[in-house]
This record gives sequence, structure tokens and C-alpha cells, in this order.
Amino acid sequence: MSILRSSFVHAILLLVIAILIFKYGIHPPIPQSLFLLYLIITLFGIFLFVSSSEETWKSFLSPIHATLYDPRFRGVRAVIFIVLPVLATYLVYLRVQPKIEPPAELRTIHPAPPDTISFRNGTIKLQGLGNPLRGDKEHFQEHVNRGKVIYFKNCFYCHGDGLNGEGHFAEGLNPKPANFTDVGTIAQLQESYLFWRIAKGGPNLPTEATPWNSAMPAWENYLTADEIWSVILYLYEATGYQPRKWEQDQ
Amino acid sequence: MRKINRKVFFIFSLLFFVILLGSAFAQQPAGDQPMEYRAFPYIGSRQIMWIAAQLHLMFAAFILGVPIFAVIVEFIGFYARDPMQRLRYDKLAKEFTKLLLIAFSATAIWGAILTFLFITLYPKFFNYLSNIFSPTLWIYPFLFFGETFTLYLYWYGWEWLQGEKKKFHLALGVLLNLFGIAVLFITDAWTTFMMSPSGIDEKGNLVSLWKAINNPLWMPLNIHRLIANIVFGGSIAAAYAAFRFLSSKTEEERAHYDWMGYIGNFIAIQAFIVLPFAGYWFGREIYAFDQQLGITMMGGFLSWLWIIQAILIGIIFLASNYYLWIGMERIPGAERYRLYTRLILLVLVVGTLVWATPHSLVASLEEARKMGGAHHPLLGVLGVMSAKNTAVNIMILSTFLSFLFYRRGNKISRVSWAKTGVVIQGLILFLAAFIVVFYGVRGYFVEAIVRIGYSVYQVLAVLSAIILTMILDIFMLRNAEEIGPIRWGKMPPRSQYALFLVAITFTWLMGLMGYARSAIRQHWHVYGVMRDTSPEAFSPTLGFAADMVSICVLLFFALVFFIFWIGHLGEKTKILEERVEEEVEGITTAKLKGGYTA
Amino acid sequence: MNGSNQFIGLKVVLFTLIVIGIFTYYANSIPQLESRPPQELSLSKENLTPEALVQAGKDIFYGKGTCALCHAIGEKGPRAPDLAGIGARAATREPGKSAKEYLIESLINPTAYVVEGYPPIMPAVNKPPISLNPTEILAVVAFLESLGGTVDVKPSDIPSETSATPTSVAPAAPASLKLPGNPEAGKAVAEVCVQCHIIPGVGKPRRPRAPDLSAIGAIATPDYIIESILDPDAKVVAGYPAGLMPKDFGEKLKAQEFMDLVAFLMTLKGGSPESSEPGKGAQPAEGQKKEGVQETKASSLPVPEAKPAETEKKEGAETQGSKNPTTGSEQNKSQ
Repeated sequence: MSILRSSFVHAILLLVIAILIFKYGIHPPIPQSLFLLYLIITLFGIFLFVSSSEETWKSFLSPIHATLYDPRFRGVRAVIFIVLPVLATYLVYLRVQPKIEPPAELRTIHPAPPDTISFRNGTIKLQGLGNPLRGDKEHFQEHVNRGKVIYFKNCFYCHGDGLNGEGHFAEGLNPKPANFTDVGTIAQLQESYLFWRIAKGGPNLPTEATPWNSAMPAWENYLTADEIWSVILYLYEATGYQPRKWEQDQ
Repeated sequence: MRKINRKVFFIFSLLFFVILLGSAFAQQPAGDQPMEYRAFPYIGSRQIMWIAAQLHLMFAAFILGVPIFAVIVEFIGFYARDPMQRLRYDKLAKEFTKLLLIAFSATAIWGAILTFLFITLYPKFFNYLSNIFSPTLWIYPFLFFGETFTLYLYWYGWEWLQGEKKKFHLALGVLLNLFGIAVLFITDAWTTFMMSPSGIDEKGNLVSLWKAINNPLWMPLNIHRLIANIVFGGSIAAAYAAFRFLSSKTEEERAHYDWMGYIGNFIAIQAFIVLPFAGYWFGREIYAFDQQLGITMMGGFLSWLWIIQAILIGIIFLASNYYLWIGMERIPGAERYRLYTRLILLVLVVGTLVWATPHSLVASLEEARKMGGAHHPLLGVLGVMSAKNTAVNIMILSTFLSFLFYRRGNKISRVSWAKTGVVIQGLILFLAAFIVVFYGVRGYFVEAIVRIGYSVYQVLAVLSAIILTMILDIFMLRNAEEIGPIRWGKMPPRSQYALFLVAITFTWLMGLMGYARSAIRQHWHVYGVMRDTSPEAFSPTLGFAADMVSICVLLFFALVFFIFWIGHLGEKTKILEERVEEEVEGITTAKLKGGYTA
Repeated sequence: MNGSNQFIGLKVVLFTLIVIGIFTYYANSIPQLESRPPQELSLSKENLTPEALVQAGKDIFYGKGTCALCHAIGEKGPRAPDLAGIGARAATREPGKSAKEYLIESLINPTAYVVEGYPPIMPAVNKPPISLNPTEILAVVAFLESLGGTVDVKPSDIPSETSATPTSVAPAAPASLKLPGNPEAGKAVAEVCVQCHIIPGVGKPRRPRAPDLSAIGAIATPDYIIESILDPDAKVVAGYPAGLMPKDFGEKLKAQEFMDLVAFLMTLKGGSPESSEPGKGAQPAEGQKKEGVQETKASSLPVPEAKPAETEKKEGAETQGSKNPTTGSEQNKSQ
């Protein structure tokens, strides 16, 4: 009997294929809990497959039967009877060993901005606010250049020279610095939102953005409003994104 | 048998007495401070009520489900042309009824226990409900009495009402079912009133009894339970047959119980195919009655329960299909369809995978980081109703296809248009599958309100495809040529374990769904009207519920096992056995000799 | 099958146990959630700070109020609008309506303003099965205002209608709290007041120099009355000069007399013809702040909300005044 005709081999092959699909075929990878669920259902299906006809069932059982009873396979039998309990022990160990892992948490990446913020000694109303430098067409490139200088003096250490959040310090931070080239960040936000986040940094994140572990400093202590606006201008110019506009109504 | 009979009557009179006493007792105010709750020692009120209610329900479901298909089987026998078939079906119907007879007393006992516990542990709540429903509480025992009485006539009159008088026996069977359904409907009114109270004013006083009975969820639950009872009765009867099959010693016995298991499973799965639709209707009515209730059910703390439900239903579908596929081994000619059954298996596994995909999942921080958020894109696609409805409908179609293959396993159509017929059947099924997938995919691109409407189209497509294909099939296989007879009894033991698996899973699922139905009320006795102020007002976790359900299921099976064992003991009385066999053989030979005319 | 049917019973029992064991294990291995019955929120005066309110409101939002089942903050809910920034947005939704008013009305009368594109499915939060009490609604409004706006909600902003009548079969509210004073004794104390105020049943001043108090119980909260006696100039009714009322009643009256007086004033629910004269009735002064819109707002603190059923009924019969804000707002809307 060819080895390829054995149901046992079929079952193993199917299982391997299923594992490969679930592990590597789905991107991004699915969590362990779901992987196990999928695997159990698939295993059940494979079992039904091999046992749904007498032929395949016999062919599936024969290698098992041979390993268990055939005197020729005494060595294999001994190995299996040692390896299986050890494997089980190891799995149990993996399951019960204490892990140093923070509990899963839900974190809002883009919390709702406040209506007004305090900036230095005054207050700034964020609602409906646009970049004041954007209207200044005459000196537009000047502002962008100034922003670029400020960016490379202050921001690039974390956010990187590619504006992709891969700066020198990025690996040491959790959550990682924002990647401005991602469509999910500045491309989705108003400029006033950026102003708020730059000015207030990690320390002033609102409640829903807990835990407050962002390492971003509050730049209002180091930069003037104009400087922040020009950095924002630079970010949009360099990435090529357009800031989100305020809706006219509501 | 006689002894059991006397016991049953005793229990019924006891039950009747208890209910009357209960309503009288409950209406009596006990001093100035009416007792609201009592605590049950050691086990706790919630747990003991849970067990009593669940076991009562399981036995009740059994004794309501079994007569339905016992009578159906009897009817099939009545209309069968072949005298041998006639006798076989009649014997089967009688055997089902025998199971029923013994389970009846257990139902009554648990009903009495439940009533006792209810009165003593939740006096205020019981008082309230009996204030609302007192007339039904008076009718109920009479209906139950009527059902019992009819059952005894049905059982003991079996041999008496043969031949010419068979029609009366069938009428008795129908009457028995009517009583059973009436009893079910009355209890459903109490249950659904707790979920969707109607017919009362703002203060909770009764305005209209009929409205209180006919509350928005009454009919959906009636239909859902009725169908589920058939499934349950069928699967338990099949499991009983499987057990008898495995422990039988003669070929004859084996053949008979193989066949009985097949019939039980067949009826169970036929009913099971429509059960999701009934459940869907029930769910929609819950949403329509109160959004809050619906959202608690699907999106709140119960959301994970539906994942388990999906897995369990997937197991039931897979196991019962598997039973059919193995059954095709004993049908000469059925090996023609083996390749198709493999494909059906694949479809069913994929369907279960899709259905069991949760919308939000358990992920560690590390995994969440890799996924880039708490939501996995795959889950966003597969975890929503569109995908799940599609999966269920496709699974139902596949199961139906399995049945078609089984049906025509040893048959070759003799009609001239057989080829065209198969093509048309294929087209119909393909079209239904296409409609299901089409609306499933389209559901992602439309608003929620439109999407909900789509599942109706899916259901309609599947149901009409099943009906059309079946009608075609009946005509195609009329007077079909047989390759060879089904070799009843030639089943490997593992097929019988599939029947056990179906029965266990369905019973467990029933317990779990009972928890879901009850838990969506959360901290209310009567939703929005009467709050649960006891320390146990909270709804327990799914894990706790699973433990309780497992205890109930194990208790139920232990009792069923015991009951069947008692039934078996009765059978062991040699004289009776021989006499019956002689009788049967006598009739058979007489009929085979052509002495039988209808 | 040769001999294999010997231990059938045992095998089947084992099989059953294994299957049920797997089901039970799986059900126990997934997230375990318990649904606890909601707690009644009662805040005492001293912890009625905005922060405490916001926190309490947040708990209700995610818990008892079941708001989070449909609403999300920061993302679009499938059944209900995103509430991020609602504190700021609420003020702009309806012309002439502050964020506070808009939010309160949306909670109590959800179909009043339905955001476009969403079905009108929201239940009134003050009715069963949610049945938030006024304090809880207050907290929720405070929480919502904190999302992008400023918390300016006060106990007196919640209309007393929101006190859901507990149905007869529902258990009574935790403990029925009454005002500590005795209204009968308070009537005697009030003889001092009729020097300037009109108080039916006590007397009429020769020269009415102060607001009519004949309906004060229907339109003011105990808090407001207490404050107005202890610090008369804190809120002055429109059209009356400040500084007229003596500031030393708090020192002159004994504690018991003081409470009796407040309790008595709270029993005055109007009914005399003079009191209905617009502009001259006793108005809580904060009504004035709202661009001179004359509002007769029946308001009640959490304390009187938990009155025994009889008084509640009575109040229900006389909430004519309290209906005004709602009808007024409906007119507003139709404009």
C-alpha cells in the first residue's frame, strides 16, 4: 500500500495544512485563543473525514494499530510512550507557568479633543480652528522650512527622519511613536488636533486614552504657538496628506 | 407496567393537589411583612430552582416531542402499502410511546418539585404571577390530566384499537398531541410574560389576561419550543436506540434498533433544519419588544454564549451528517456519492469555522500589538451577522443535500426525465446557495436596517429550495429501481456514538439556551415590572451557567438511564416477551400470506 | 461487535462525561462576565463636586445606564451616534438650547432630537427597565458634558418628572428620605416672612416688597430655599432689589425652626390666583440668567425624589408648572 494512500497520512497532511493556514495564512496573525478554537473544529472535521467510511477508517487505524501491537515496532512504541507524556507535561508547564505580561487593555488611540485648551497663559479654542499659517500664501514655504528645522531639532529622535515613527528612541517606547505616513494618523485628523496633542503631549491625555503611558512631552513648555503650527505645516507637506477639514454643520 | 401505572396516577393527583394548595397558599398574606424570599440551605435558591426547572423542562420537552413523532410514525405505518412496513412502523410508534409513558411520571415529579420550590423560595414573585395568571393555573392541571388520560388510552388501547378501529387510535394520538401543545402553550405564557410583560398597567396590575398570555414573545417561543421538542425527543429516542443497538445480541434486534435510531435522527434533523429560522424569529421579536433586551442578548455579557452555541450547533450538524454518511455504507449503490459527502464535510467545517468566529476576542497585549489594535480585520469580516447567517444557511442546505444522497443511495430513478430532474434540482440548490452568498456579501455594503431584511431573503431562498427539490425528488424516485435493500444492522459502533453526541450536545445546548433566555432579563423577575431584590439578583457568568447546565444534563441522563433500565427490566419478563413475539410473528405470517386487507 | 458490547453502559457513560466535560471546560475558558444588578446612586451634598459627578456618570454610562451597549465614545456605534465631543457639540445642535438642556431632554425624551441616519430606538432613561433616578441622570449629563465641554450641570436642572414612579410591585426605593422639618411648626415660623412675602394661609404683607412664595414648593428645590434664606443676595429674583432681605435669619432661627420653615415652604405648591402672574411669581434666580427667558422650573433634589408614594402622587397632580419647560422647549424646537 502506497504511503500516500493511507488515511493516516491524509489526516496528518490535512492537519498540517490547516495549521499552516491558520498560523501563517492569515495576516495579521490571529490570537492564540482563536487559533485553538479553529484547530479543534478542524481536528473534529478531520476525524469525521477519516472515519466516515469503513475503508478510510481501517486505513487510518492500521498504522496506529501496528505501532501499538506489532512486535516490529517495539522501539517506536517505547519512544512514543516516553515522548507523549513528556510532551503533555511540557504543554501543561507552558500553560501554568507564571508569565510576566501586562493584562490586555483597551486603549483609545485618538481620544476626543477638548473644546478649548489652555496654552501658556491664554486659552485656545480648538473647535473649528485651522492652521493660521496655512492662509499665509506668501511665506508658505518659509513656514514649512522653519517647521522642518524645528522637527529635526525636536521631534525626529522619536518620530524618525522618515516621519514613520522609527526614530532612534522608538524601540524603547511603548506605545510606539506615531507614524505620520500611516493613513490612520494625521491624514484623518484636523490640524487643531495635532496642535492639541503636540502642545499637551502624553501627560494631558484625557481619561479614555488610559493608560497614560505615552512618552510624548508637553511641547507648550518649549515651543511657541507659531512654531507648533509651522511643524504641523511641515508634517502635512512632507507626507503629502491633506488635513481633515472641519465640517460646516455640526 | 401496572405498578408504574399506579405510581403515575398517584403522582398526578399529588401534583394537582400541590398546585391548588400552592395557589391558595400563595394568595394568603403571611402577616404584615410578606416574605419575599427564602434561602435554600447549602445549595442556594438559584441553583435548586435551576436544577428543578431545567430537569422538568427536559422531561417535559421529551414527553411533548415524542408523541408528535410517535403519531407521525403511526400515520406513516397506517398509510404504508407494504404490510411488513405497516407492522414495523406500528411497532416503532409503540416503542416510542413506551419511552414516553415512563418519562411522564418523571415530568410530573419534577413539576411538583418545581412548584413546591417556587412557592417556598419565591413567595412574593409566585404570588404576583398567580395573581396575573390564576385562571390558567386552574385550567392547566385539567389539561395535564386530559393529556395523561389520553396517553393511557393511547397506550393501553393500542392492541385493542387495531385493524378497523385504528382510525380511533390515530385520533387519540392527535388528541394527545393537542393536549400536549395546549399544556406547552400555557407554560410558555408564564415564561414569556416574565420577559415581555403585556396586558398590565404601569403599576403591574392585570388589565387583560389575554394580552398577558398573548404577549409579544408568546407565539415565537411556542413555535421555537415545539420544534425544539421534536428535535429533542427525536435525538433522545435515537440515543436510546443506539444504546439498545450496541447492547443487542441478535441480528434482528440490531436491525430493528439501527432502523429506530435512523428514524429518530431523521425526525430530529428534519426539525432541526427549521429550528434556526424559528430561533431567528424569536430573536427578532425580542428586539422588536425591547431593543435593550435584544442588545443585552446579543451584545452584552451574553455575547460569548453565541460562540458556544455556534460550536454546539456545528457539532450537531456535523455529527448527524456523519451518521448519514456512515449509514450510506450499508446502502448498496450509495458509494456513488462518496465524493460529494466529502465536499459537504468540507463545507460544513468551513461553515462552523465562520460561525464560531467571535467578533471581539481574547488577546494578550503582545498579540494585540501584532494585530495593530483590539480588532482583527478577519473578525471584522467573519464575526458579524452577515457572515454567520450565510454560514448557517449554507450548512442547512448541505445537510439537506446529505439527506438527498442518502435517500437515493440505492435507488435508480425510472422516470424518463430523471437526468433533467437532477439538473433542475442541482440548479435550484445552486441558485439558493448563490442567493444566500449574494445577500451575505451584499450585507457588508449596506446599512444595518437593510441588512436585517436580507436574512429573510436568505431564509426564504433556502426553504423554498428545500421544498421544491423535495417535491421533485418524490416524483423522481416514485417506483424507483432498487440496487439492493438497505442492510439494517450493519452499522459500525462509532456511528451510534454520533447519535449519542447529537443527543448530548442538543440537551446541553437546550440548557444553555434556557440560561440565555432567562439571563437576558438580568435583574428582573418580570422585565421592567418586578425587580429581583434578592441577593442572587445578579446573572452568573457563562462558566457558572455551563457548570449548572452540565449538572442538569448529567442528572437528566442518569434519570433517563434509570428509567430506561426499569423499562428494560419490565421487558425481561420472559413470558411477555415471548407472547409478544409470537403475536408479532403470527400477525406477520398471516399478513405475508396475504390475509391482510385494510 | 464480538464481546465489545459487554461494557456498553460504561463506555456510553464515559463518552457522555467526556463530551460534557469538554463543553464545560470550553465555556469556562472564555471571558467570564457577570451581570450585576445596578446600584442606586445617591450623592450627598459634599461630594456633589463636578469630578465626583463625572466619575459617577461614567460608571452609569458603562454600567447601569447601559448606554455603552449602543453608544461608543471615539468611534461610530452601530446603532447610535458617537458621543465623543458631545459636551461641545450638544450646545450647537439646537439653536437656543444649551448643551445641558439638550442632553437632559435627549435622555428623558430620546425621540425629541434624533441624529440623522439613526433609528429612533433609544429608551427613556428614567423609565423602567433602566430607571435612572434624577441624581443618576444628573451624573450622566455631567459625564457627557465632560466629553469636550464644561460641566455646569446642577441638581436643579433635572426635572422632577424624571423620578420614575416605582410600580406597586417593584420594591420601594432604598430608604424613604423625608425633609427633616415639620411643616406644621414651620408655618408658625413663617409669620416672620409675611412682613414682605405673600404666603397664603399665613398672611399678606401690607406692602409686598418681596417675591410671592405661594408656589415656591413647586418651583424651587430645598437647596435653593435654604440658600436664599442663609444668603439672600446669592440669587435675586428678577425685578427685585438686592440687599432687601435681612441676612441674619440663619443666626436668628434655631436649627429646628429653620428646617421646619424649609419643610413648610416646600409644601406650598401654588393655587392662589396672584401667584400665577408672570414675572411676579417667586422665581429661582438662575432662571434669570438664561437670557431673561421666563422659566418656571419645577426641580427636585434627589432627597425629595424619594418621598413616600402619597406625596408623589400629589406632586404628580400639581406639576402643571413643571410641565412648562417641556412644552416651552417643544415650541422652541418647532421654530
